[in-house]
Amino acid sequence: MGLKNLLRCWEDPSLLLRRHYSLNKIRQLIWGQIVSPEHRYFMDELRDDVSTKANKDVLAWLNPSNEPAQELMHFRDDCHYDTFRAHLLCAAKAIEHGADPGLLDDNELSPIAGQVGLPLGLMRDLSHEFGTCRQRSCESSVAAPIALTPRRGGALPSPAEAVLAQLRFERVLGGTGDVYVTPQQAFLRLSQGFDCIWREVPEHVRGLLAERKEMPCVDFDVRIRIEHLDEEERLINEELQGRSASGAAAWGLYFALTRKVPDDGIVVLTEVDKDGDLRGVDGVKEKVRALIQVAPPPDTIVVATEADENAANQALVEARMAGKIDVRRP
Amino acid sequence: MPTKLEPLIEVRSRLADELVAYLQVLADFGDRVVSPLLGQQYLPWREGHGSCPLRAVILGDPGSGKTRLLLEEARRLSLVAIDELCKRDVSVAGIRLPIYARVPELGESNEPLEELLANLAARDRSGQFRNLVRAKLETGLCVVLLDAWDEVALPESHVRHRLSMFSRGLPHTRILLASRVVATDFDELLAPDPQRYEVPALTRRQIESYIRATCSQDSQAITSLLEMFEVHDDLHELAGNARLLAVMCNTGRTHRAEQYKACLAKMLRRGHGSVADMQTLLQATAWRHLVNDEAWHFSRSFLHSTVARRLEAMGLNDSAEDSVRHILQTGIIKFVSVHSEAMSFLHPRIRDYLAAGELAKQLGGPQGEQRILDLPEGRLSANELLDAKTQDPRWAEVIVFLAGQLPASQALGLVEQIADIGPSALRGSRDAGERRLLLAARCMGEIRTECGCADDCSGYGP
Repeated sequence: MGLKNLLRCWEDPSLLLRRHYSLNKIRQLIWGQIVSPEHRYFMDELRDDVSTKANKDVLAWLNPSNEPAQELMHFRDDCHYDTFRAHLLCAAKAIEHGADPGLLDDNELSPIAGQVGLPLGLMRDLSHEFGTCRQRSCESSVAAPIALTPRRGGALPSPAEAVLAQLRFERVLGGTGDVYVTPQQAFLRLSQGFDCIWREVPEHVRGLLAERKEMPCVDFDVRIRIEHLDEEERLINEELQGRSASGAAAWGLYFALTRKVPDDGIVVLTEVDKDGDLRGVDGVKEKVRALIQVAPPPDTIVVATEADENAANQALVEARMAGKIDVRRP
Repeated sequence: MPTKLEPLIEVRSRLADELVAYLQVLADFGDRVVSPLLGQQYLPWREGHGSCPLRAVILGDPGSGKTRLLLEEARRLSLVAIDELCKRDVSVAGIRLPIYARVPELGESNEPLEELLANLAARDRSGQFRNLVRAKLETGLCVVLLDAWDEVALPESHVRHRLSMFSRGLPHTRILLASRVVATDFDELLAPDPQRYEVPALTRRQIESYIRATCSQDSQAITSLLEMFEVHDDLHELAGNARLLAVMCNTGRTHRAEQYKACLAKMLRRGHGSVADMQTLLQATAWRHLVNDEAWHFSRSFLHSTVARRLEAMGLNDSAEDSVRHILQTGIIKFVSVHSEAMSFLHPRIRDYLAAGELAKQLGGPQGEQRILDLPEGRLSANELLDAKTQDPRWAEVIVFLAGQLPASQALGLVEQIADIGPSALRGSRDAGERRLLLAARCMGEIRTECGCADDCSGYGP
């Protein structure tokens, strides 16, 4: 590189990046920062535009002929395109609304939700954030622990280890019972299997409520947040996949929607299939091994099949925890 | 086979199952002990007369229903908690947990009371459950119902110190303490600021409803019992005590002396000493209390000295202090205040019945009515004593009870003696003669015939 170039890099560090990384790699890094739950640069910039009423800049991103913007919004997955559009449309509406953009009503937000095919609750969160720079506050929440066994070859530990996380279902007052992923995590890479948590599971839970003649509470939305019980970051950059968290999601969502209180100490290791039936999950032994490392450990593990029950019990015996934790089948 | 979602949300945690099982035992136990027939005898705060106090002392006579009230409160709290858990309104951690314990069962160890209570509640349950109880004690999500404080209320008791420490250390935990009236500084024991409640006597309506429910198959028995209570105010007063009411309904008799005998037998069995010995000691105490014309309240030393003298006369080497303790366990003699050691008999007529029993024993002895008795007013024969006391209202009930405890032939002689209203008996007043005749008539009603029926005494009208 030479000393001359080294000084140029000192003055303009991007030159160093360009020398050592491909453009695609650099864009990957930038894109990650733009949408990461920690930095949310995209949201920050949009909020600036809303505060300065730069409607023209916002609308420019929605113009199909704006190739750089379109490229960015389609960069990683097409599935995030609608999420970008939701942000932009809500920002544009907030600017249009003028003085008090935090008070956009459902009549103004519903068309946007219909246009992008995302829950109205998410639009409420976004517009509130544009208006107040804060998230809508949650009244209470339900947590459902999950254990994820990673893909082979990923950045996560080997399949012998599972990663612990929990789905937090936040009750956000001023809603209509919508279920959606929190805006901070709206750009997570989710496989079609994993995103059943907010695409399919809510419908199954609502079906259950109808069968039981239980009225779901409709004065709040349920905002789902994935919380790490393990080291931060590791999941965020991985694509969350598989449906193994869907049982825990159904369990937690039921309690969130009904305002009922779940028992502490329960971990659900089942999945909910497309028909709303419970099924077994992969990697039960790994998941149980990870779960019993938590302090305090769960007191009851719920599995769906006899095979999973046997696997869970075997893992407990191997860890000398047999008798201390119950394995139950619904 | 795939399973639908409903069973998934019904699954309970192991700890929740344990908690429900614990609460169910308490609810079932309370259900067995609590008598719904006695009607709603709730703790005051359940009737909307104020908020539930953090510290409360429930005072009452033995058998008055203190334990029943505690267990009913435990049952009520358990049912509320079970309902909240089943409806999933409250988490396992948020449930208010009742713990019922008899203070004597907590033992004399030096362990903190919270540890002992946690061990007691979690007996035969998991360590996790024990930890839950312990946490609830610390966070105030417990209601501790302590029974039978009077059995360990000795000043030197370890429990006193530990309970005081417990109460001060866990200011947010509700504590209800049930006790007979014993000399205890409850303000010190259950700081801060314990509220005091006395278990009220059963009302006339409660007594009647209990009789009707207990004897539902026997309308004659109902009528007889109700008439008995109508005629004898003293029995009606005794029936205000739930335990004694139950005894009276179970005797199947309406003879007053029989009812007293049954009630005393029941109470004597609650003491740890020999029933016969305790009865003798109580009769001696009642007799001394009567003839010495003592104030209604007497001291512990009076009881102690009477017991010691009678034990010596009986040739027994028993400790007088132990015997006094056994007598107090029966509840026939009670403390009258938490501020002093003053005592009294549970009811004035019980004293009279016991004193009459003592006199009956004297009259049934070798010299019978001629036996000379040492009395404060001098040495008198039993006959002279009776003759002298027929005009003394304090002795009237004793003489009536005496008729009920003597053999029929001897009792009829007593009636004749009382009914003899010749010039010597009248001693100057017509009213006095009428009183004697009335007393004789009352004695007639108490006389037990061979068949045990007081009515069959033809030829001996007053």
